[in-house]
Amino acid sequence: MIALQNVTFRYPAHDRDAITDISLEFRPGEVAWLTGALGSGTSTTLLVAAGLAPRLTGGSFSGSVALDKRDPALASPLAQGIAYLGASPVLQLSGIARTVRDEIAIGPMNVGWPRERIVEAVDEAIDRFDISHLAPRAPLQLSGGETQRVMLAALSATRPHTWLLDEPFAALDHLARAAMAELLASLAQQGETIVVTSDDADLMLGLATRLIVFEGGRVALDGSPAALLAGDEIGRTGAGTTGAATMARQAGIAAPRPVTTRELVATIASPLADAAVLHKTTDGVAVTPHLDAVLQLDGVIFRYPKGPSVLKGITLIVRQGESVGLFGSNGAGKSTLLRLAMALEHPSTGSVYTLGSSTERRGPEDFAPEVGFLFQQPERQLSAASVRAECRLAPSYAGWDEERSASAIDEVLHQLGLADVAGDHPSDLPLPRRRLVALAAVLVTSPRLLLLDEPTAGLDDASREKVARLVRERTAQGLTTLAITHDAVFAHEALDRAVVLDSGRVVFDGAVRDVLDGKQQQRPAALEIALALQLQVGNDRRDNVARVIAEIQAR
Amino acid sequence: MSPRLLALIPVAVAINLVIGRIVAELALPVYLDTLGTMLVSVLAGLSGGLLIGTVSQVLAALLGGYVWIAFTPIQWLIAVLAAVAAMRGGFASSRRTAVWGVMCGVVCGLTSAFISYAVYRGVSVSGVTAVATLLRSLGLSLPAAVTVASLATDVLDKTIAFVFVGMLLRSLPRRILGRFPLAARSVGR
Amino acid sequence: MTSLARTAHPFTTGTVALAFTALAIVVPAPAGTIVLYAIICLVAILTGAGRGVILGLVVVAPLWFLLFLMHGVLGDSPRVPAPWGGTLSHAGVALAAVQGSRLAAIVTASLAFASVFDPNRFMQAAIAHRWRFDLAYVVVATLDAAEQLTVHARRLREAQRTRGLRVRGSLAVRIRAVPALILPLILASLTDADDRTLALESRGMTIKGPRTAFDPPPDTRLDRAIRWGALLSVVAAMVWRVAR
Repeated sequence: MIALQNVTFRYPAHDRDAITDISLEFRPGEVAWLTGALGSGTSTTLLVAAGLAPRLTGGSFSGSVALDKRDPALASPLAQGIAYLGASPVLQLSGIARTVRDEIAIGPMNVGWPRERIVEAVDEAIDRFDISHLAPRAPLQLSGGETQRVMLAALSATRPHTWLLDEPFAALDHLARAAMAELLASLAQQGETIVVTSDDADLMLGLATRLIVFEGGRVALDGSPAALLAGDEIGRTGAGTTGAATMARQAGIAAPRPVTTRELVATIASPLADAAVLHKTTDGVAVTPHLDAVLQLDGVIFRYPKGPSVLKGITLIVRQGESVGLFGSNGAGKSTLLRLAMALEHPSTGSVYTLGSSTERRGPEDFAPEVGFLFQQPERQLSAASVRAECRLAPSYAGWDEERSASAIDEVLHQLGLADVAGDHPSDLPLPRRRLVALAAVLVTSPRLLLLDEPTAGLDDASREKVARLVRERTAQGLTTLAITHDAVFAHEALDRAVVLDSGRVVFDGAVRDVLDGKQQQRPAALEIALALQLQVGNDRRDNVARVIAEIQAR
Repeated sequence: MSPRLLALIPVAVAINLVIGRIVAELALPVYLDTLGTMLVSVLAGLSGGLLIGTVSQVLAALLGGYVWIAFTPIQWLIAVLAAVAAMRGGFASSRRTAVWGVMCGVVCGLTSAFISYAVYRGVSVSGVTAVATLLRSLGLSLPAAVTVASLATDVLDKTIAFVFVGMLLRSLPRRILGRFPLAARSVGR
Repeated sequence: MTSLARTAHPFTTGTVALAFTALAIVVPAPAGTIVLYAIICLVAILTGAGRGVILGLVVVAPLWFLLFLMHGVLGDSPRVPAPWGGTLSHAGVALAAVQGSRLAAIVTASLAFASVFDPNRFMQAAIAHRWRFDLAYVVVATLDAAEQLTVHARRLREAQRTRGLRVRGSLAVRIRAVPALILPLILASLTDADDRTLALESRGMTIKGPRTAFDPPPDTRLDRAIRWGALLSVVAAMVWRVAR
């Protein structure tokens, strides 16, 4: 059991406390979920509980932390049975393991277990986290999501009794998230203590036994997740709630609101509703047909040197004004397709035309600034010393004058809610905001084609909303978007068309909603609403549904 | 060893090794393979800089030929000069930094020349040696040729390196600057 | 098919390489060092470290050329006639031979070692022999960090290019690209080092010890014999050199 008593902590060279007067106890068998607006102190609390702050971070500290009556700051977390996982998975790697299997063995090696026990622990961890296919691979070559899994497996090898996880789902797609949540739940059932910081309310609702909401460094709310998510107070603290509760609030339903889709649907069961809702929500998806192909792939085959074919004959046309989602499991070739479009790679066979020009013998600098590209984990590509300077890079390379740059930058920063941190160093911002900065930097030059790789990964509800809105607004002004995403909500708020890749081929090309629900039939109103919540195609469509719900309630 | 040093050393040494390689790929007449040593000297103090310099040189020797181990004192000199420059706010502006860079270049150049002449008879690293050979063919004596060649390359290299380090220090994010008080002093705060 | 150099205990290959280096300094040049160079090349090729010979040639060939130029062609008198009509410095050519063979021997020995050096095996060996973990960690982690940094540099380069930075072209263009490529790289590395401090602690890297080598390379009698042989040969050479 970890107990924090009146803990106040401030990082060095900061002018505000990160957390103030926190008193919390984390008990075995509980899954405590910490959330709050960005910068509210959740990650810091984990660091303090692990005994890592202030010992390793420096800074001023008052209060006490006790791990079963002892001070966890006396020794490494590992030696005390604490598994601490920081937000960025790749930085957690040991740096001395050649394979994933070796990486998992590092922990037991460091605590000096006998060899047989180490081998046993490693095998068990690999089994438990279902990563036997990753065991012989080199840790540096894994994707973000795979690294995350491996890290959890590695931490589990020394059988910790307490897990302190900072945004463990951020890098995972929704299938992997569900699997991870299940795993954590089973750990809790075995009597381990789990403390998680996360912004994914829908996921945590099913997993957490306790919700602690932070606001400005203090504990604002502490109680049952379902009860708190249904209420008004959580919204006031700046933290997000479930999609269903958000829509219910938008529809004017008072607290306590339904928190799951099923509950929301149950509140409006009425036969009169069916006809009305069906009529309102089956608006056609508006795709402006233009003859100009903004992106064209003709029979593209691509293989990395000395590797198998990643793309096996792709023919695809994206027209101006389309918002296309690129779907498919990992390794299906999505990122490669995006990179081909930006001339970061060149096809082995076939041709790629971006904005009408072939990518042959050209590089990405030849397509900037008309084409904007957002990488996965974009915070690892930030270069400048301030948010504003980062945004100024693309316009300056394009030769824009100061005035034009400044006004474009101001507009984008405002739209993404970054105006207040324009002068800050991106590294001083929390991870989700850093990602928004990367996006802002791409959008400044108002590119005609936007290539996005997981644009909403790691973002909270509010940020995701801003991104989706921005994409939609610019689409109305003629922007074309091609986005790889696992985020169902974003896909349906901002994208119209879906292209699904499997093993390097296009296996589906149609409307986005069909991808995630898989059916295409007449649906009763209740299901329509449920889908609208999950899919949320177009904000105007969601507004429609909310309005209709309000109308029904009023009758 | 503290976890901070354990995390910093590999990164700093990697900076020395990799930046040198990147610059070489761009086919420019400088090395820029001591940025890590300079940075750590400023951020973690002289002992850190000396450590990084030594580890860098040992690893470079391990990977590229033990011979160049004789140049380790150059790394130490760089560490010392960077630390001294930091203590006197030498990185506060580009001009001041350039001056310190030139000084470092002169000191390193003279020392390199001496080591190159005494241990390697004037033939060590290809680039500098080629320049020295050219000068020799123009009539300079061996010691003179080696000295001029070393001075020219080192002054250019160290000045640019110092300027870069200055730019880096002046654009460090707040949370890093907070960890390293000497860094704040080096840029005159 | 794993070569002898790779299956040997890491300490063995290291000791042999160091011994060759020491011998290159001790034995009389150029006759001794030329023979030694030949022996090193032979040993490297036979034990599967032949790549080191080729890498060695790549490093040393330009130096041979420069040595010949600097000392042979441009050297001091007395001069002797050269095959192509000019003159060569007699002492200079001799010096070039001495330096050249010595350099070749040392560089080849160390590059051959580097070509079969396996950081993880070395780490396991260090742990098994109870060496200071943090020092062994630093060596191995640095190689890993260099790899990570190279990957990071490549990604930054791509990101900058997608914003419009030009990296190919005239000297001026390439020079302008340098700050944009290396400054953010270093900055990001320093920030990462900060996050890694926490990670290292949570993975237990700073735990005092003792650690278990879960996959230690075998240290056979042959390994020990070779190490002793290497050491003795260096001592013998030194004694012989002094006695002369």
